[in-house]
Amino acid sequence: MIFDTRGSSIPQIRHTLTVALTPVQYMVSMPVQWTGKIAKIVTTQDALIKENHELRSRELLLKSQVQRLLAVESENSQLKALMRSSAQVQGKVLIAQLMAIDSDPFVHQVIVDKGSRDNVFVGQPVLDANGVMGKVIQVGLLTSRVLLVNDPHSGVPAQIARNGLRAIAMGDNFTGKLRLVNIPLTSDVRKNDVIVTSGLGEHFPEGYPLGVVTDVSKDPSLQFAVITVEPSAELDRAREVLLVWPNKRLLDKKAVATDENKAVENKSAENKSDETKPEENKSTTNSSEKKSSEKKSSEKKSAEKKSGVSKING
Amino acid sequence: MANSNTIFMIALTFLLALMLTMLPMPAWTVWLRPAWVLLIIIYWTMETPYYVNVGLAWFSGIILDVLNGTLLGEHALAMTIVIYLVARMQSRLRMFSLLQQGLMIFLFTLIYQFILYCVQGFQGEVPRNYLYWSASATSMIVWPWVYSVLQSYRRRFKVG
Repeated sequence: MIFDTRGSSIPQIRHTLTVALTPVQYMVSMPVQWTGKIAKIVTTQDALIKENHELRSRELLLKSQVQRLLAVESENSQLKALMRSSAQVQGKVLIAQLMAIDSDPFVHQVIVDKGSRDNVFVGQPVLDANGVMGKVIQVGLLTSRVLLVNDPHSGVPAQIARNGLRAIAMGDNFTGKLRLVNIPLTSDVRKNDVIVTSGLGEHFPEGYPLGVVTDVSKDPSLQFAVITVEPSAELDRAREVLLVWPNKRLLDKKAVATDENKAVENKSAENKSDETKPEENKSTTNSSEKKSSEKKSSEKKSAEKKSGVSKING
Repeated sequence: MANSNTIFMIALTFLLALMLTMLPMPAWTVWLRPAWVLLIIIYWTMETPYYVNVGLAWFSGIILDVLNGTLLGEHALAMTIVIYLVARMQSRLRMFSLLQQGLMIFLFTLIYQFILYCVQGFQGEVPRNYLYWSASATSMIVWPWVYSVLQSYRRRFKVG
């Protein structure tokens, strides 16, 4: 057990065991998904038509919003270029399904059905339609394990959208929510503040919504304020998640930065191997139309999210 | 005696227990889930100690750790210690009535959970929730059914 936390060869053993056990996971997951499918087939035509109408009207609305957004985005990138800040949100995106598997109640982790075959890498950010879900901590051939943001081992660099106050959002085992740690009592945090990722750790892209402050208690006897954040992602309900390949420029920057710092050699090698992966992914997405259309839709989604954030900012 | 039929039949129940462990359930039952794998291994240790004992308990613990994403060796440790106790008391346990067996199972799962609780404590992830211990109670409640089903399964397919 000590080796698992400190050692280096154990992850490989874990990896091989995971591959061997993948069929078991699928065996559990399949029947549950089948029942879902059957339920879908059984829904009446009437309900489907109704839903179709509803979705069409919503699509129209969203399209109009996206049109406006494109203008805003180009303006935004221009302004950012002027400021010479290279933070970019959009990158490659892939939709993954959660496997219908319960984990130990201690650990806030989920398993998704994309693995190293789809160029998933360790440390990759995972989002859902409403916000940040977590990041990939272990990659198998067909599946990978995602550490949710409300796990006590998870810490996400965040900032408050209203005033840009930086903080780190840690998971809280007891409540299943997040906590902002090391925030002084005098700082300006209010209830209903929106927390977004700050992009400082260079794992998570900047500006994705993380959660909403539900409770701020400033006890003078404590050194720091106790701030509880309700995660905006549906951590226990979502079925589909987005795997994000951050923009290549960001990774380039990261590699350069580590070189400058003269970090340990193998660390920079890790970065480079990360760097090559998005390229491969690019070629695969270009080759298959289906995937690219998927990508587009998910890009739209992320664009919507951006609009949400910018509204809050403005 | 080591015939492949026996090994296959035991492996099948083990696989079923693993699946029950991972089966998605409503959120409120999270803490109520019985320790299925432990129950199955206890049964086979009681009835066929020459096939299933501490070694297999350790191995299944490792598998549980991998599937659950917990610290590698955590379930293995707990499982090994409990199954050692079961193996020591094996011949006595077989003679017990279902009620007495149930109480022993309650004790065993309590020890199992206590070890897991300690290991989690070292990692700083102690469940601050008394419902955590209720899994022992559900394991005890489920035991008579597990026992009688497995008993008829064993006789039907001449396992052991």
